Amino acid sequence: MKTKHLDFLRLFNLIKIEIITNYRTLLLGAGAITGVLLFLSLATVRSSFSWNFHDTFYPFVLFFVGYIFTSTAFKELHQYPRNYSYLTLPASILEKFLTKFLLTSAGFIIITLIGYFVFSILAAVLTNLVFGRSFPLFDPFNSDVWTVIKVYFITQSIFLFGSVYFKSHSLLKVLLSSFLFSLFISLLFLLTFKIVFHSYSMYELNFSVDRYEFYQMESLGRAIATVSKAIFHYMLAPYFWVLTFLRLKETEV
Amino acid sequence: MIEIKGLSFGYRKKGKLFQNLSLDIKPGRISGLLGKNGAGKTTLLKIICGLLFPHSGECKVFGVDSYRRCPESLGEIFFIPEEFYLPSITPKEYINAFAPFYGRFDIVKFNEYLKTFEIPLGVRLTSMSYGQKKKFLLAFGLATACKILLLDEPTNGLDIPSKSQFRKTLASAVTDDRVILVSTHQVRDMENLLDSIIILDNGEIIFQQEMDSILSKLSVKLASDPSYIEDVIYFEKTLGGYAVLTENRGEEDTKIDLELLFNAIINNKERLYEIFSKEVLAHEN
Repeated sequence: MKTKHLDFLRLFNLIKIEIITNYRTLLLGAGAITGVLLFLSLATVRSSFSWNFHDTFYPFVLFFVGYIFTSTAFKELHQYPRNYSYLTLPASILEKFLTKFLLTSAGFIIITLIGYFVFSILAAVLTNLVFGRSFPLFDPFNSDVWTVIKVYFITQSIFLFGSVYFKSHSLLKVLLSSFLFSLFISLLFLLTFKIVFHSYSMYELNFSVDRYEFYQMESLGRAIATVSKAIFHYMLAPYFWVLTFLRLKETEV
Repeated sequence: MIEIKGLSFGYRKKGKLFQNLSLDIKPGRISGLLGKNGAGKTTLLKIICGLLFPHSGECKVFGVDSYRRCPESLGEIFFIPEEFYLPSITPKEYINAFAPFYGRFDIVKFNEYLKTFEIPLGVRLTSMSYGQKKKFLLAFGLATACKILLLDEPTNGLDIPSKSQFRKTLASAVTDDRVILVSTHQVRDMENLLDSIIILDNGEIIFQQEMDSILSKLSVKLASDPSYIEDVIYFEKTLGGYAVLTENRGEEDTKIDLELLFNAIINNKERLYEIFSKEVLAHEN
């Protein structure tokens, strides 16, 4: 497929650049993480925790490493003179965006699924050889795993935007911004709650709400929850993808 | 090929740099972009390759606004900045990764350039010296066969033999459909290489001329006392006398000292405008 803004050959070549220029760092990182996980699997194999090992550590690897990886996705944009060669590379803004997006979302998810599965085999063999104990294998098709992946896929879009927007320490700045945003929302709810229930004292024993009002509020609460879920699942990621694309488009050196 | 019309640009902290700047760069020659520090030479190159966006006016490359950074235009521009980035990979890996973006990349020529520049192939790019990296990038840029080659201070960091190799290689790379625009302070390194000169001062193009025209209209003389010479435009004290820039009335065959010419334009541009009155492209509103 080839259009003015999207040529799959160019997209493939951009992905190739990412792999050629970063594979040493990525292999080193993957090796270090595997080493730490193997150590932890050996350390915990005698405890009952080992049966929940993957429930804890797969999400940790996916979120922790994934967010760090995503936060550095557009590092060349903020590094002089690296940004010169990146921005003058003959590829469209859409292709440059898609390369980073695909590598930090689908690409990273696939690699962690395969990598983590391989690690679990290694861990099982090693724990059996060293301690004669069995260690569970990681099941990539478990529904819980896919729930975690879904949440990562959505939330990493915020970090992708952070990497294009912030010139330095994007991971920390995104976390801080998210914290401040959550604080703002919490305060907003607190304020709403205060306004609605202002006539009731915290220590008043005969706290009662009119049944009709309660049903009305309950349905309002359910509606807010449904809308919030819909926003999170279907709107949050596309919103940040669009913002990332636009920011990339208007970046100057 | 490169058309700039009514361009205005400035940096937030430094204020306006260009105001209503216009420039038309034709192919088939090596153009030298000269100017004092902070005149905006590098900024102009950045605007041409879409790294900076005009505030108003337009900068078109092959008829397309450069700020759009469309792949077709970018595929025809190769910019070698004064400071550049090369990844920690071998030359072979670099070619494998970056050459596919340039449809007419010529690997045979690239290898020839590398041989000329004596670039080692087995080492990583980051292990090379600054001069070797620059020559590698120049070899790559020439091998891309891009129609626009933008070079910012290309001879900085090159040793004496490399400067000579650079001049020869660049001169051989000129084709009828190629623009080579060189921004430099090192005018002596560029002597006998430039086909046209563009001088930028205070955000304006104050002089744009072909070398042939300059040579036919100006001449440089050495004199012990410049007051005895007619039609003096500008003079400077040199070892053993004065270098004097005069109007060339007798169609003398002369060599132009670019440094002297530059200083003359900066200090006595009105007189030069008179001389070049029929041809000078001084875009002053």
